Amino acid sequence: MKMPGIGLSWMRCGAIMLSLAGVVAMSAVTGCAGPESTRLRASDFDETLGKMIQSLSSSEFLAERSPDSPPAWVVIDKVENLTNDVIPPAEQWMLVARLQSAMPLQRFREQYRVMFQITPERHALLRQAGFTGELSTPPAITHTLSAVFMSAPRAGRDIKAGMVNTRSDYYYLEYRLVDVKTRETKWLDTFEIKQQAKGLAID
Amino acid sequence: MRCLRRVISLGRFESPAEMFDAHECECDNSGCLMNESSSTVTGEKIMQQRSIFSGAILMTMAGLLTVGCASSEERYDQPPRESHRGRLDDPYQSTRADQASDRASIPALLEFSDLTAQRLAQDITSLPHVIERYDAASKVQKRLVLEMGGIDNKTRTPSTDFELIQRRLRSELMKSQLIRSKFMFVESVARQEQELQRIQQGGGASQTNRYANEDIYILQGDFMEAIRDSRRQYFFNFKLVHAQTREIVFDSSYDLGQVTVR
Repeated sequence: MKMPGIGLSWMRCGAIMLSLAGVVAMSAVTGCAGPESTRLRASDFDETLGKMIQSLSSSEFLAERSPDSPPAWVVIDKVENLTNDVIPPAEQWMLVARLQSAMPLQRFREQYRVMFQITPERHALLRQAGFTGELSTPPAITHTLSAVFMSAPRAGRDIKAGMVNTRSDYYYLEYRLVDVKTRETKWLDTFEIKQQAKGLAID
Repeated sequence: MRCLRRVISLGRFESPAEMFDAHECECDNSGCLMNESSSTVTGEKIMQQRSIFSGAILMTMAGLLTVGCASSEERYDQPPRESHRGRLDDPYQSTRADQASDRASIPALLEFSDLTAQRLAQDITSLPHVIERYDAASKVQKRLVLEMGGIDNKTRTPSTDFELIQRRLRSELMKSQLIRSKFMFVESVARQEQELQRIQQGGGASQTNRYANEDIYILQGDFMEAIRDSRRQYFFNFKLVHAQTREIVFDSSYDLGQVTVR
């Protein structure tokens, strides 16, 4: 014989257990602790590059150019990292190279007469890679595409604990295209990020 | 199910719990009526539905509790809004670290650079030095040269912070089409010569362009600080200086009083 009262309590008990399991799972996923680092994240770079691609594509520099314009030979330079973050050289190159590779190279050549050249460092590596032919003098570079990352960190000290336990970093990421000869900045755009974190750095 | 939705929309039941009892119902234009006699659902099923419902409520409450826990942990005196974990939606928002730091406030510095950019954009058309520059041969107005000058930092805040603000100011100025039509923004000779060396690998490096001093304007920044007990008084100043005459043609300053919050 079935006892409805007992069945009900078991069901409720099961539901409560299920809820508790949910609480534990959600706590594990979201975590109760706040962010502990103000470092730049990969998603910050993605967002920055997205904005830069859009900005350079619709820039005045390109709008003023035509297929009859004098050729513009562009070479990239790595990011000048003036932040407290450690950005390895490979990443510094990548963060500018990604902007170059996002550009439609053929359209740039045909419509604006803008061509991208390999970096001088890569040019020298051709010999080491076994290229035996004559390395003719490449066309003179007219523009450089580079970036500078800067930051202004601020930290707060907890009087009771006697330790720094709050930190915020304001990041300023600037991409620019400079005319080598005239020194004029032909295109420039920036991206600003502010991050905050709480807790001891040792944690 | 369709019947239950109708019940809810017509609002004939007092609470959602009653909805689960309405396992079968008949609806017409005036609403729905429970059909007790035609019920085929057993008592066990009803209990099961009730348990699922109470479980769902508990789950929702637990979820809210967890979210609340995460946000309260990150809350400071005035919690700035964050879009991702730790990243603020608005860089102008002051953080707990900003308030507790002994350095100049970042939001105040950003505000100062914005104000200066706005003022310079407005004043630029009235500067006689700028509007009266015409090329003698072509009679076309000449674009003047704007170069970044040095930073004179007499505060305990690192100079890199003010260099950042100076760069930001230049970037803001470059956004103005009016300023771009009057000025060309150039990199420093030293920096660009170094770049030229790199891209030409030291061979046959020709010089970068030089401009006449009469056409060059330099953007300089002065940052000063006075400390009295816990109060710090800052004076920020940007000036545009004519390279040839050293005349200050534009000046923008900002006073900031700051008390460190412990």
